Amino acid sequence: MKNIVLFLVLAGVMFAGCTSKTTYIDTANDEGKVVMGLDYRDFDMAASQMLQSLFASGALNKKEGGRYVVTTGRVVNDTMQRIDTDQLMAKIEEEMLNSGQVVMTSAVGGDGPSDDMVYKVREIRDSQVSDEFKDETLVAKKQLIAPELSMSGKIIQRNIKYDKGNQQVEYYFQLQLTDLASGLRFWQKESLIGKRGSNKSVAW
Amino acid sequence: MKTFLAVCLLTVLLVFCGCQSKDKESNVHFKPGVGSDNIVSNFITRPIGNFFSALIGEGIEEGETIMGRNESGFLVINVKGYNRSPGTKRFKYKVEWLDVNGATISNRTSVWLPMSVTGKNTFSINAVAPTKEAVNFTLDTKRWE
Repeated sequence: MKNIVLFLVLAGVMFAGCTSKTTYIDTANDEGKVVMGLDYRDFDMAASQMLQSLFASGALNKKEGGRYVVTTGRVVNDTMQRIDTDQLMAKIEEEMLNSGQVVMTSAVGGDGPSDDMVYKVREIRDSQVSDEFKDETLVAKKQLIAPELSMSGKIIQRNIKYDKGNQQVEYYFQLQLTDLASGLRFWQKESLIGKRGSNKSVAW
Repeated sequence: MKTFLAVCLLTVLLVFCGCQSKDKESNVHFKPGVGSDNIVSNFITRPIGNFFSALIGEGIEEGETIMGRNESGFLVINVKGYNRSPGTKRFKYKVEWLDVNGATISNRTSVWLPMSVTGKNTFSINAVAPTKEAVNFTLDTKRWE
């Protein structure tokens, strides 16, 4: 009996030793292994390169003064991975806003408005439920500001056989800024992230 | 006599290896195997030069730094440098932006970015601050694993 208890205790200790400890990632100085898929470091790097190019171009500098109203158009995920393109665009939008050169609109977007409440409050205004609200707190008509610029883009993935046991994966981040009145493109940038690794590593 | 000759030969080679840094002033760089061999750079002197370069730990050298503001009023920096070693140096760099109080401005552009410089060649790092609040910067580097 004693032997069985001792065996169970030893087995428990051994299995406990096998589980790896969960730790926080040091996102400022991550020394973790490079993975074949896209991780947060790739999005950080692509966003930084895009923003550097955008600020250097002066495309957000409104000649007549004031700030541009910008919307995010369609950003297509043409990779084999399930990516929410907001992983890239949220960083870009945040920094564009912080620059003080633009304001983003939540009323119009490539995949619909980024905040449905803009229209929900208008539905309330136009419905019978509006009787429940004080008139002066309801949104008046013709208050929305139309966007002047649109940011759209694409993330592309290409898988190439490098040699017998290795593959090469190329990720292209493409963004462009278009003036909606004239249709002219004010700025454009492509950022490439390439990785080589074992065929056993899965890139999706 | 043999020792004297060896010392002389070593001195001459060291002098010639030192002359290779003339590349720094030239705008056009022909790498070994591309440009013609000469008395300074040839199949005998190059391995010796490479050995001494590795021995004394030659690497990236800081050059001129220019700061200014672009038409949007954002701080713009241009950091020049030179790779003294004959081999390609790969590293990562991160630019942090500082406000008038010297405090770091939190932003999305301050991430580790890759840089690759071929041997005996110049490079420059350009960066634009993401906000007008930036008045100064720091540039940090680390090895590209």
